[in-house]
Amino acid sequence: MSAVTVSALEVGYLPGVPVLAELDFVVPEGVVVAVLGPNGGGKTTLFRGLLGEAPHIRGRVELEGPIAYVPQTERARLDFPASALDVALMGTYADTPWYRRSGPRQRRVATSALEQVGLSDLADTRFGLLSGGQRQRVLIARALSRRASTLLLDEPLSGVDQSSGKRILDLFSELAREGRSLFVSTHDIEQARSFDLVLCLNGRQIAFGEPAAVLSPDVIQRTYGGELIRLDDTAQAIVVQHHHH
Amino acid sequence: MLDAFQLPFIQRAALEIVLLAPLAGILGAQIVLRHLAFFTHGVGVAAFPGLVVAGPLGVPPAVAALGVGGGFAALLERSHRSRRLGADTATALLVVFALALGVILASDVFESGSEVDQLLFGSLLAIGTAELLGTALALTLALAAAAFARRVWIAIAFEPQSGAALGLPVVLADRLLLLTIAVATISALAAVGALLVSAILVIPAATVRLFAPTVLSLELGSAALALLVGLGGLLLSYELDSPPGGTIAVIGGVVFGLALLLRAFGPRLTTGSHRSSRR
Repeated sequence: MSAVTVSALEVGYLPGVPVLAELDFVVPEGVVVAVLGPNGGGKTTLFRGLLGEAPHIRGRVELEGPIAYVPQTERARLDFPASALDVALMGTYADTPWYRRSGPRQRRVATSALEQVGLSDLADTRFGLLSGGQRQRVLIARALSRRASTLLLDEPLSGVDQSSGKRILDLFSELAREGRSLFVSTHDIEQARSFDLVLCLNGRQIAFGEPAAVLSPDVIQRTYGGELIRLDDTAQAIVVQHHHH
Repeated sequence: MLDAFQLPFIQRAALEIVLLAPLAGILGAQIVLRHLAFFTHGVGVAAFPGLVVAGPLGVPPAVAALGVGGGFAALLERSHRSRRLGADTATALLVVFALALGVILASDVFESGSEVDQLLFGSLLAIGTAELLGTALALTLALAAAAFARRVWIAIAFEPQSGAALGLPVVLADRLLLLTIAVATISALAAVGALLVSAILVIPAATVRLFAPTVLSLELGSAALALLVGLGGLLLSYELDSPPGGTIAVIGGVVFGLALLLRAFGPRLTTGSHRSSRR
């Protein structure tokens, strides 16, 4: 069954001016999709379009079940007075009527989400005291508390050490086995090869499909343009990120 | 020293502080978590020209202050969203404009009758029933708004980007927060004046923020500290014959300074139950 179906979608912030165009793909349940593209190529706009936060100029998005966004950990307040459990509980807020306090049922949902990301023993630890990888997993737990069947993860592996990165990748596989679909934006082309599907963006959809079929030197070149440095004649390449401040 | 509480005007002043303290807890916590201290100060100052013209125009001061301060809050909310002009720049411009306009109106243009220093620094010892009623109404609004939106405020303060994706009514909650802060600020003007509103609504929460491990402890601690500093400042001002608004602000500032020192050199009170191991 398909989790996300996107047909002839154009997303933009001004009427008639698409920032991201020609989006056409179907993502089945239980897969991890790497979203590749240069800075400003439309990765964030794609997520905002799927979340319904960025206007659809034309085309349509069909979703099976709730969708949740997992930001980079640096976007969250590290000095915020909240424990890992408090953060995971935030995922249950929308399902709790405003006149009711978060009770045992919500705590059970949040605790089991923390358990799933392997952090139940650090539930009472302040969010800002956790390592980057642990914080990322708490934010994933928050999305799981939302009971999301599709997760949009904004560069979840950037700034995370290798062993934490490995744990997060294992978690992605586990979540996919449960039938969830994950969109993972990344700059790491080699890592994208290990995912089920790849979506390449550069102002429009450049390519979509299985990594072996999609990640050809030509597609990588068209996706990254000037941000790419080719290391040899194979598809080995690195992306030089030009940060926009 | 406690004999002072036998005096009716001290009793009314104390009751005003008792009503303001929960506002310092509920809203002070959000003000420091959302970095709205300058906004709060701005609303207070923006209300100043409204207070100056209220008397000559025959408008109740609270209504005039709410009109001008509320308009300022709405303008700032727009500038927050447009991002063309930074929120702090917009606040600074409006604060200077409002203060200058108030001073001009108070000098010649209007025969205001109000003492400028009372408007700017409050007159806690002259609190009447109308002011107490106004603060009670502001507290009722804050309690109702928090019952509806507190969880959303917390989620946005933690990480604003995902609020809508978490299914939360972000825009509505944001507007409600700014409106509630504006009303609370106006209600505190009689006690601490346009320039010292932060003494009640910001400084206690900023102090407790240094140590509070949870939002709830921040709210409760801020309310308790506002009560202590408010009543302490009231008594001290009575003993020293000093202006109560200024005295409360000075005590609040000193307590904040001491807390900062304790935080820097004292035992670690701010950690969670245990430190993490990298994994």
